[in-house]
Parts: sequence; C-alpha cells; structure tokens
Amino acid sequence: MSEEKRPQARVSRVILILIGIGMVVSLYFIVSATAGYFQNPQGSQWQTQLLYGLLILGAIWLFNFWIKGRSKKIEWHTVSQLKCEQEGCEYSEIRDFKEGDYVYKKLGNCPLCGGQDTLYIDLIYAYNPLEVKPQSTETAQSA
Amino acid sequence: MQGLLDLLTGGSGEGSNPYAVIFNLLFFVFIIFSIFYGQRIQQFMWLKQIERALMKLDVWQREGKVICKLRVSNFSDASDEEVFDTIEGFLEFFMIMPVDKDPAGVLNRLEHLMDVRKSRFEDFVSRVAPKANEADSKTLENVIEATIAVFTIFRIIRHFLLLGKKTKSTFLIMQIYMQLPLIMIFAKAYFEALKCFAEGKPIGDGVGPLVAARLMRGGEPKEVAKEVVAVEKNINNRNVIIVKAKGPGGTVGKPGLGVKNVIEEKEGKVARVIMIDAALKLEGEVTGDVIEGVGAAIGDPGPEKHKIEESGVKYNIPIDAIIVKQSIEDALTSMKKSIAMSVDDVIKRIHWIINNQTNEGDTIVVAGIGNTLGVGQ
Repeated sequence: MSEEKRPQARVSRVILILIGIGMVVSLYFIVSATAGYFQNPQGSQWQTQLLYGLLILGAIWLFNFWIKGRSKKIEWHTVSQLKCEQEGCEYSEIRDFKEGDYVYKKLGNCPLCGGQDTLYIDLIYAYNPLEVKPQSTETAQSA
Repeated sequence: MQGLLDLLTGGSGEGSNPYAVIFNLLFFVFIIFSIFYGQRIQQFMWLKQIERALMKLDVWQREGKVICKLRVSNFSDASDEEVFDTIEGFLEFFMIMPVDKDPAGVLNRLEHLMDVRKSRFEDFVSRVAPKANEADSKTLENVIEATIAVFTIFRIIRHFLLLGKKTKSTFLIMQIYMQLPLIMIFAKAYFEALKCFAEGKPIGDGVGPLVAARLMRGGEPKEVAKEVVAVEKNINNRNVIIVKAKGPGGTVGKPGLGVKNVIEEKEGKVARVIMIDAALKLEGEVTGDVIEGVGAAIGDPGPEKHKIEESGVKYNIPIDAIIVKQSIEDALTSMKKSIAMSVDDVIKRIHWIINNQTNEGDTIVVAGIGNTLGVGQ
C-alpha cells in the first residue's frame, strides 16, 4: 500500500502554521500593551494593543472549535476477501461484508475456473477508506 | 501607599484613565476570587467535563440497548415490548467474585462461578431468542455482554458524578475526572464491539482463532472441550494438533481445558505448546506487529491459563507464545487489515518453531486463543 501523504495531513499542517503565526502576533500585541501600560498608564495605545491581542487569541480559540467540530472520525469499512480453493486458480475478489459472512464460509462455484463449491471467504477485515482501497484480482489460470 | 492606589486607580489627578481603573479593579477581584474560590471553580469545570462524558455514555448505552434488543427480537416470536422488557431486566446481571482471603482453591471457585454465569447467559439467550441457532446464540451472548459493559460504565460514572455533587468532595470528582479519558476509551471500544458483535464481524481479538483456522484447513475438527475444537495435521513430519474455539459464533470457549485434554490424551508426550493470542500494545507501537515469548498467552481471569501452565509443569512441556499487538479498540472492533495480514507472519513463526525446536515424529499443540466470532474452521 502506498504511504502517500493524505491531503488532510497537508491541510492540518497549514492550519498549524496559521495558528502559530496568530499566537506570535497576539503575544506581540499583549507584550507591547503590558510595556505601554507600565510606561504610560494614562495612554490609550496599550488598550488598543491589548484589544488586538485578545481579539486574535479569541479568533484562534473559535477557529480551533470550528476545526474540532468539522474533523471527521475514521469510518472503518469492512470487506470480505473471497478465494477459490481449486489448486492453480488464483481467483480473488474483495467485496463489501454481508451479514452472515464468516471466514471459511463456502460460497458456491468459482466464477473463474468453475470449480464446484470451491469459492470461500478467506479473510474479513476492516480498512480505512482514506487509504488505498483493496483491489480484487482475477489473474489468469487454468483449472 | 499612594503608589499602590495609583496602580489601582490608573494614576491620580485629572488625567487618570477610567478604563485602567476598571481593568485594575477587575484584575484584583479576579485574584481575590481565585484565592478563595479557585478550587470550587476547578471542581465546577471537572464536573462539567464529567457531565459531558456522561451524556456521551448515555447516548452509547441507549443506542447499545436498542441494537441489542432489535438483534434479539429477530430471533423471537414474542412481541418487541416483551423482548425489550426481558432484556432490560437482565442488563444489571452481576457475578460476585470468590473470596480471596483464603486463596486455596480460588481458581476452582472462580471457574465454577464463571461456568454458572455462562450457563445463565445461555439459558437467558435460549429463552429470549428461541429461534437462534448455535452460532447466533453465541453471538447474541456477546452482544448482551457488550451492552452490559457499556451500561455498567455509564452507571458507575453517573454514580460518582452524583456522589461528587452531593458530597462536594474534590477527591471523588478529581479521581473520576483523571481517569475519564481511559474510561471513555474502554466504553467506546465496548460500544463499537457491540455493533461488530451484532453484525457478526470478526474482531481483532480473533486473530488467534484465525491463525488456527488457517492451519486447520482440510482437517476434520473434533470437540475436545466445551466449545473448543481440535484438528490433527502432519506438518513437516510432526503431528501437530491445532486447537481453537468453535466458530463462527462469538465464543472463546475453554481453550485451557481443550489444551489440557489434548495433552492428557497424548499422555503428556507433547514436545511443545505454541499459543497465539492478541495482546495489548503499548502506545507508540504498531498494530499488527508480531512478537514472540514464552508462557501461556491467554487473557482469561485465571482458570484457563492455570490449566495450561499446570499441564506444562506436570509433563515438562515448553510453552511458546506468539502475540499480535493491538490496542483495546482494535481488539474489540472489526479486525483491522494490518491484524488480518499479520496471520502469514504468525504462521511463518509457527513453522520456524516446529522446524527448529522440535524433532520429526514429535507431537506439538498449537492453540489459537481469542474470540472466534466470524471465524469458522
């Protein structure tokens, strides 16, 4: 399975950078406001700076909530992997799990080699749909 | 003094800033409030977090009950209301652990209690779901067990929340708050497990039976203990007896008794016991990693493990353990691809042990331990 970086990972990195920049800017305003207050408590510049700093912090906080709210949880998808037990037949099919499926359940005749009652469920597993979807293979054979 | 007043009021005289006065006053009020009511504020925040978690648990336990009831009513002729009432009455079923102040024979007593509990579950399922076949009955038992687990967690958290509110005890509230993340992981795992059980999907814990089932292919299974089957096969001129719980219904069976019976049947002439099981990984480790060790790889409360260890000591049989790493969520939910794909690696290791640590003509027992839900043989 290819380990290509998912777009979600890139988006979250950009978001992290934006949040980092916002934090630095708000920190700058708050520090400036504190310094301004001690230099001249009667002045109005430190209040404006404090307001900007707090506004940016608030925006980051809200943004964080928004991001958390829209982050989706992984919905695992369960599939059944079918195989043919006929020697030489390499039939393999991956289909959605159906209720009543179980590993080594017989499913009838093989659609590739025509073997009588040779088709069975070899594996049942869950995969993450954000990763690469498992592929069925119907490679050539001769029964 | 004047300096302090200036700091508080933002300077004296006509040029004093009213905003600075308000800001400073608020700041001092906040400090004083924090000194006297800091712990109360923290308690309030902890209680809010616990309440939020409890709301989530409430949703899970309600949803779990609905899944359980609908699943059971599929196998019953009785009305839905009747089935629902019967199940509701069973969800607080409990087992009192045996007294361990006198440890002599505690495992026998525990096993007896577990057998009685199991038979009560079987009776209950046969009563509420008379149309269910053997495999479905086992799976329904699992569904009810998982529903009970989620419901019990909900009740315990609710108890501590209400007790904490009633007594205003920081200790009570804090201890539940501190453990909340782990409790929620367990509760979620059981809730997801419940859905898997209801659909009959193999779970991560079933990797042991899955390996055993693959090794068993082509053999004729015979029952060696309650809900445990075994197949004898010739692998590289060794007589290998493969043991697993009887699938595809959801059960772990009594694999300890199964292995013990097989060893006794062979009069102790067994060269090795190889056990395969799922084991909890540590954070940072990869799900599906396979590792080896020695000892009885079985996560039961004691009786089954004891039987295997006892047989090993009695006949001087080495016990090998091969485990597949996974988290609690992985173990209780639909088997992940990485776990399913580890089966080949486990089989390779079993073959290595058979070829390198036993001789031709030896008898070896391979036991796949775990819940065999969705895994036949």
